[in-house]
Amino acid sequence: MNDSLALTEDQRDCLQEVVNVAMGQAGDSLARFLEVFIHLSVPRIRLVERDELNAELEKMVGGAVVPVSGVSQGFYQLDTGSGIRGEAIVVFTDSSFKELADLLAYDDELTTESEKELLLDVTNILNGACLNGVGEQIEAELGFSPPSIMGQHVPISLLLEHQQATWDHALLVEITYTLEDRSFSCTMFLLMPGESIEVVKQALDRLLEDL
Amino acid sequence: MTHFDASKELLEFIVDRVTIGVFILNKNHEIMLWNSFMASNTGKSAEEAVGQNLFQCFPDLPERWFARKVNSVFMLKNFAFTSWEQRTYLFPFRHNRPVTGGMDYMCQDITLMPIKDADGEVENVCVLLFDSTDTAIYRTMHQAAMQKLEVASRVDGLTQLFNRAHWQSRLVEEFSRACRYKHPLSLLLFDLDHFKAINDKYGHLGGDAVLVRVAELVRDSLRDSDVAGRYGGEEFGIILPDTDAGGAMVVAERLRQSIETSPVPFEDTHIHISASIGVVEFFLDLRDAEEMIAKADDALYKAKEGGRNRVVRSS
Amino acid sequence: MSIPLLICDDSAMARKQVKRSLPEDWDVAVTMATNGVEGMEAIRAGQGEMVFLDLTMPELDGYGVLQAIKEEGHKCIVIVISADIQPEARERVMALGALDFIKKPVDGKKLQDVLRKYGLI
Repeated sequence: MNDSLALTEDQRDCLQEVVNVAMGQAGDSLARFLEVFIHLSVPRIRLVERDELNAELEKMVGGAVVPVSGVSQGFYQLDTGSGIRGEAIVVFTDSSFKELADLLAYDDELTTESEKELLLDVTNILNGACLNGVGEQIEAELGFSPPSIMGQHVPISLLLEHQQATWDHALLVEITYTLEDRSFSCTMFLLMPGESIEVVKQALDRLLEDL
Repeated sequence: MTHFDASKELLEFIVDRVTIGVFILNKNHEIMLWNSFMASNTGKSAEEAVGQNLFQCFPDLPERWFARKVNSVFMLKNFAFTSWEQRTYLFPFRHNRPVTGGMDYMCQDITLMPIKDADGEVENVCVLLFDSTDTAIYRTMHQAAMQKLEVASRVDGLTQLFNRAHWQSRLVEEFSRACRYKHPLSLLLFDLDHFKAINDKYGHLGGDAVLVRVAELVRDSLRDSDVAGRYGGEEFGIILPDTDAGGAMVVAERLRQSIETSPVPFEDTHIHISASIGVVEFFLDLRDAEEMIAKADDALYKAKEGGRNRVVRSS
Repeated sequence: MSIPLLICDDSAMARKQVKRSLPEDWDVAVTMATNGVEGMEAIRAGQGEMVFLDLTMPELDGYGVLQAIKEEGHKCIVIVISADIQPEARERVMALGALDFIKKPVDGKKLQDVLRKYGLI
């Protein structure tokens, strides 16, 4: 691990709280979209290198062969060329996704098209609310590109297989939203090149100094 | 936007002339702004459109779907996106590839942006409509090519039966299924008699015509669940799931007869052909699919030894 | 005599933010807890007549703490400070006996307004 990128304990704690606040906003958006109460749990944060990413992700979703669907969305800091940029990827296990579809009363068999639309909508809500929440706190206004589906019903390693590696580190943010009486969870991870992580760290330091 | 002071007129000019659909809706879905792209494609000018309710102005729009998207932006104060891959278009616009495109209408990607007032409240939503017809055409071409490639990797080009690699992997699957569920399974391996002589006499084109015709006869005689492949030059294999030796012998004998009684038309003549067939039934002492093939090969050899144009069952 | 005040949150930053938001001249004895289990121990030890309580915490979450306070019959004044801004989250903690709800990130003015509203300062 590149030591200059690793977060200090204070920075990690600070980022965790920033994400916690953002997660609350994203949870509220999702709750309004689904018209249910959402139970939040403590987000988990880790910085991983490219080579470790697949193994980490497999651990998160519960195995190498668990079928998942993934959606990716680009984000970038407005008004500055040297700000934060990266990709936010949300991964749903198939079992979680089925719970979600049940909840939204897709009575008939979920068609491929409606399934894609639901994936994209939920990802957009979570990413938008969560990243805007992070952005507000570190005083960075973010723009988004349209979400795109990386793969459906495939082992998680296949999601990233075809991606050209133009990033070196990923900030893994594991957020679990639990719906009452249903287990639905999804994992969001932020892929950022090293220089963007630097920008994030500087912003966290400013927050810590204010205390 | 710092290097020069863009005047309001200039910005209006750009929004109006950009080749992207731009319009703005308020909470009642009334049109607040309507650029030239929208005007020229819908045939409704800004003067006609602004102030009107979008869905009353264009009653054919998918209102339930699009209203839900727009309302989610008001409610969540967040961007929303739609893609031509889920819904090909919002407005039925003509596109610029009418001849080569193969698409009825312009494919559209849509971005919906919240417009916040000074208090952070969203009173209006800006809709951007992008023409993604070209992307859609390339994507469709790409998918068709991928499909062809996938088929090509499984199928023998000449006979259009499965190639050896794919056929063998299917046999391995059926073999382990038979082991697991104790289902019956049989295998035919057959070889065209005197094929070298046919090639010598009629040339390779004649030989190819025979192979193609035999493949047709095989296809005609099979059930949906049977799996036929070209195993070697003039050697074919057929997997018969859920079939015992008795049933396999019936299939083999019918195939032998149909090959014998179907001379192959070639140039101005007919090529008479026959086949020798080895049959083996799955039994639990078999080690693996390889051994099953070896048994079928033995039986096929005995059919040749015994005078060709016959079916022999592995003992 | 100073009031025993407990700040219960798993984030060091959040605990500092709360502490920094307290009125400067307020006579309190502050105890910190990093999860619900530690929080309950402090309350049982009499260190939490007033509690600023987070909801999402490991071990025992804020709902669990409110439940335990009720069951064990402690007379504490609890103000929930949480990022969970769903209207229903607020209703639920109020039903469990919380005095009020403040959303994160907490700011001094808002926190002091709430304290003043209930005559606590």
